[in-house]
Order: sequence, then C-alpha cells, then structure tokens
Amino acid sequence: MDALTSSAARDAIVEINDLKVWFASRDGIVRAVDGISFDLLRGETLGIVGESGCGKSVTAMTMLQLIPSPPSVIAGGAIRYNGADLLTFDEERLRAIRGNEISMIFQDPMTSLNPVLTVGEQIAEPAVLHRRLDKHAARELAVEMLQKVGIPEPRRRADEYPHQFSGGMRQRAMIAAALACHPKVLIADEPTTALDVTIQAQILELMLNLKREYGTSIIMITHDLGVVAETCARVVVMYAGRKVEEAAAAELFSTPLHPYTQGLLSATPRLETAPGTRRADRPRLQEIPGMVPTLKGEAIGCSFAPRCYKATAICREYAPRLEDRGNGHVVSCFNCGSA
Amino acid sequence: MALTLAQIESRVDMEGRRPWWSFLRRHPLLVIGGGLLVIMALVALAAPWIAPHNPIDMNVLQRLKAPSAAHLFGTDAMGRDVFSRVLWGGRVSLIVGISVSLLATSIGVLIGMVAGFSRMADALVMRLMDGMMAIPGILLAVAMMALMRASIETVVIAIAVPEIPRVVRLVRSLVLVIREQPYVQAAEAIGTRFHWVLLRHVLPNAVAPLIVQGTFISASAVLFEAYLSFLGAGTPPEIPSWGNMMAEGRAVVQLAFNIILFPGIFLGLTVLSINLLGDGLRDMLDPKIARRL
Repeated sequence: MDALTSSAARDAIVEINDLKVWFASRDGIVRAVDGISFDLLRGETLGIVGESGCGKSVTAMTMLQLIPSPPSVIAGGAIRYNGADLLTFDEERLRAIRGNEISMIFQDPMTSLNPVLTVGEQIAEPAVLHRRLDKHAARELAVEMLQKVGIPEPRRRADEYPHQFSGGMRQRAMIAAALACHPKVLIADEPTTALDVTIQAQILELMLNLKREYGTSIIMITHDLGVVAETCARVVVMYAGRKVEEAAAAELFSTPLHPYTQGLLSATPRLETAPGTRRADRPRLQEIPGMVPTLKGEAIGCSFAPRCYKATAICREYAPRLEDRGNGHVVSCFNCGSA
Repeated sequence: MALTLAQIESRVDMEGRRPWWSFLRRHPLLVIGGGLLVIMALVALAAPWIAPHNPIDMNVLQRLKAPSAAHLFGTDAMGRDVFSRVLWGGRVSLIVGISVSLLATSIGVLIGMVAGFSRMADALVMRLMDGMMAIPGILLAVAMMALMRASIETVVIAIAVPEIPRVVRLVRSLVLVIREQPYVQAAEAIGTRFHWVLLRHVLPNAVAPLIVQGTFISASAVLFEAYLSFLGAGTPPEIPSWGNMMAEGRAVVQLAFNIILFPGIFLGLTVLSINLLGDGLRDMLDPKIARRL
C-alpha cells in the first residue's frame, strides 16, 4: 500500500482532517483532541490505541457529534464521510446517519442496554427508526440478528430482558443492534474491555466475521494491543490528543518508531521467553515513566517529551511534525527513525 | 445431607409452580396493605347499598345516641347515623387520595423532566420549588382554600400543590442519573429523537420509584383532607368526610366519644394500609433493597 497516493485513490470512507475538540472548563481550555487526522478505508479495520484520556473516545464520539456542546467545542477540522463534512450537518441529517450508516458499540455491555425493554426491541430499534419497520418485521429482524451473532434459541431470547443475558451475550446483542441497519462504518469503543479474555476472543472473531459479511469498515478503539494485533490492518497511536504514529499493524509491532509506541509495546507482558531462563532472569516488565500530561492550555513542544528517554532540547521547544518514513509508516518525532 | 435427584426435582418443581401463598410470604406488607386497602375501597364504593341510613338525614329525636342495633356506630349531634356517614366519608378520602397522587405526580413529572434536562430551567424551577417547600403544606393548602370555593375538586388541588415540589425533586434527581446511563447515550447514538429518548428510555426507568412515591403521597393526601376538613377549610360540610365528622364531634366529645372514634379508626386504617402497600411496593420494585432482605 502506497501512502503517498491520494485518499480518493485509496477509497477512504471516512477522512478525519486536523480535528480539534476542546472542552471549556473552569480553569481553562482542555485540548482533548488537538489536530488529529486519519483515514478509514472501505472495508478496513483501523485501530486507535493510546492510554486513558488521550482522546480516543472523544474522537469517536465527535464523529457522530454525541458529545454535549457546551462544554465541548469543535475548534477546527473536518470529518468527511463519503466526501461530505459531517460537522456541517444539522441535527436532522445527523440523526439519519446515526445508527443507520455509522453505528457504535459501547464499552460496557452491562449498562448499554435499557433494562426495561426486551433485547429484541432494542436490537430492532435502529431499523424501526430508520427503515420504519412494523412490529412484526422488527421482531423477525431481531431474531435474525440474534441468530447471526450466535445466540442460541434466538426466538425465545428476543423476548427476554437484558438482566437475563450474560455479559458476553449482551455484547453480542449490542453488536446485533449496531449492525441491524447494515451500517457502512462501525465504531467500536473498547468493545471487549469489560469482558473476560475467552469471551473477548469470541466477540472479536464475531465482529470480524460480520465485517466480512456486510463489508463494514471498523474503527476499533482500544488500549489493548492484543486486540489490535488480532483485528486491525492499520493502527493509529494517539498520545495527549495527537497522533504520534500510524502504520500497518504488522509493521508497527515489528518496528515501532515513536518512543511512546515502543514504550507501550514493551509494557505489554509476553509469554515467550527463552527456554530455560530462570524466573529471576526474565526481563522485568517495562513501564513508561511519568504521567499523562494535563491537556489544559497550549502544549509547547512534543507532548511526550517529559516522559521520553530520547528527548532533547528541540523536543521541548517545537512540536514535531508527522513524517512519512515509507510504506505509510508515519511518525512524529525528531529523534527516531532512520537517522 | 445428600438429596436424591427426585427430591431436588420436587423442590425445583415447587419453585416453578409458585403456590399462591408464596407471594404472601415474599411480600407480606404488600399483601396485607393491599388487602386492607381493597376492603376499605369496596366498603366506600358500596356505601349507597350497604349504608342503613341516608348519611345526611337529620333526626332530632335521635341525637347523640350511643351505638345500638339501629345505629351501629351511634348518631351525631344532629341525629345522623355515624356508620352511614363513615361509609360515605370513605368515598371522599378515596377520591382525594387517588386524584391528589395522580395530579401531583403528573405535574411533578413534567416539571421535573424539564428541570432534569435543561440547565437553564433547572436553576429557576428548583429555586421556585425550594420556595414552595419552605411554606408549610397545611398553610399553603388553607390559603388556597381561602381563595377558592370549597368543593372536592378544590380540596384536591389545594392538597396536590404542596406535594408537587417533592415529586419534582425526585424526578429531577432520577433524570439526572438516568440521562447519564450508557443506554441513553446508546439510544442517541442510533439516531433516536430527543422526545422519544425521554418517553421510551428515561421515563420507564423512573416509574418504579414514582409509583412508590405516589402511594406515600396518596396516604398523606388522605390525612391532609382530614386536617383541612377538621380546620373547616376542606370538604364542604354538606358532604360527609372523616375530617368533617371529627370536627363536628369535637364539640361533644365528652358526651359522645363514638362520633370521633369511628371515623378516626377508619382514617388510621386507610392511611396504614396505603403506607404498608407503599413499603411493600418499594421492597418489590427496588431490587437493591429487595436483594438485601
């Protein structure tokens, strides 16, 4: 894949360009997302990784403009969906997109379903809203979707309430609801964080299968590099509201360039150690020293500089720009890469 | 002790069938309160048929008679049959109890929703409600009655208005919690319209605490009606109500205790039954408390 070709040739369905989302708070402006750009290609799974508070979820929620404003302000940039800027859409046109063309899966399946409505009603709700399905057709659709997401006895299960479902089954139901209208884009905001590991794997596999079936493009937001490795073709690494690195997943894992990405990868526990090593000889799990910086006020220099082992004087003065290091591997750092 | 499979099955089966008394055992307050209230309501509704005398017929020859076969609860200072008047008086209490809780709850829900969803309205509405709560409810009701013509409708309004702020507070706090629930956000994320989010997602999740609050309002409304009538600011004297009867009996309490006693017993039992029902409903509807029991 050649990153230098234009996004049109790469057939992007969503293009985010220099998006800035700021929050007005009592003690100043919080730059939660500070000029992020990336493209989502048709049929692709794109991962967005970064630690808590780096702006992943804000980016995702802004795509559907689900963040209440005030306090949020979209300070600049564009979110183009099929070429049209979603930020210029009025509420009416946005509603027509939400759940219909772009839909979302939330992190916590335990609370994302309304306890007083049956699971079937909730799965069919987007279709009832956007396609005006009648009661009977809605129920049939709910049963069909429950079957698709692998819930046994879908006909009986559709009439049950969320408390009768386990966590994994609820997340399956959420996926069924998100895909009920066959959206073009699915934003999954930490879809497996609240689930245990075996269920995680099943849910991820389910999402990938359904993606293949419907041709949906997925934005996978996560802090779990394992999830990225299993599902994503391309990865955007975010830090403090900015994109610090973007690369094909395989390349990112084999040759991470940005010190933050390197830090993230070495902070991931690994099973494979050389055979015969004693417990004491195994390498200690690395951590990234320091804390995520506060996003209040304008950042001077590279936002990662205070925690970076490679930081030099220039890092604290100027913000590095994103540079292409070939193969679509983009990184913003003065001190890493070929040099 | 090890159980045989058959023994376990028989137990499971029993659980599955749920005999009628298992509901009583799990929700005793609900059954007792509900049962008592149903009896009170039936008696009040059947008053025209089971009352032995016309409740407003005066009989000068039969004044202040003690309970007897002809007059079960005796007669009052104007020779009216206390038993018949108690039965008819139950209708007033029933009407007031039900309509006050419906009126106060529905108006309170409307105002509370607005306060919960709009920050601007919130400050204004809640200060207004705080102001209303600062005035003792009985004074507010007496003042309103002084401005309106005495009738059952005006009594209902005068009692409902001081109850509204409490409902508003409850609804507002419920809305503030529910609107932050992920399922509300999820509903917005699929393109649900705002008013539909309110009706389908927010309101149904607030119903259980509202029902419980509604029963307590209705208990307090029954009492309030009696207070107002006792003070002479409530139900007009030509309509028999428990409060009226006690007010009239007060003057002759040393001669005929029964005139105050019987309406008092009925009033107490009715309020008790509604409160028991409310407690039972709360235990049943609020899973957090129910699980603790």
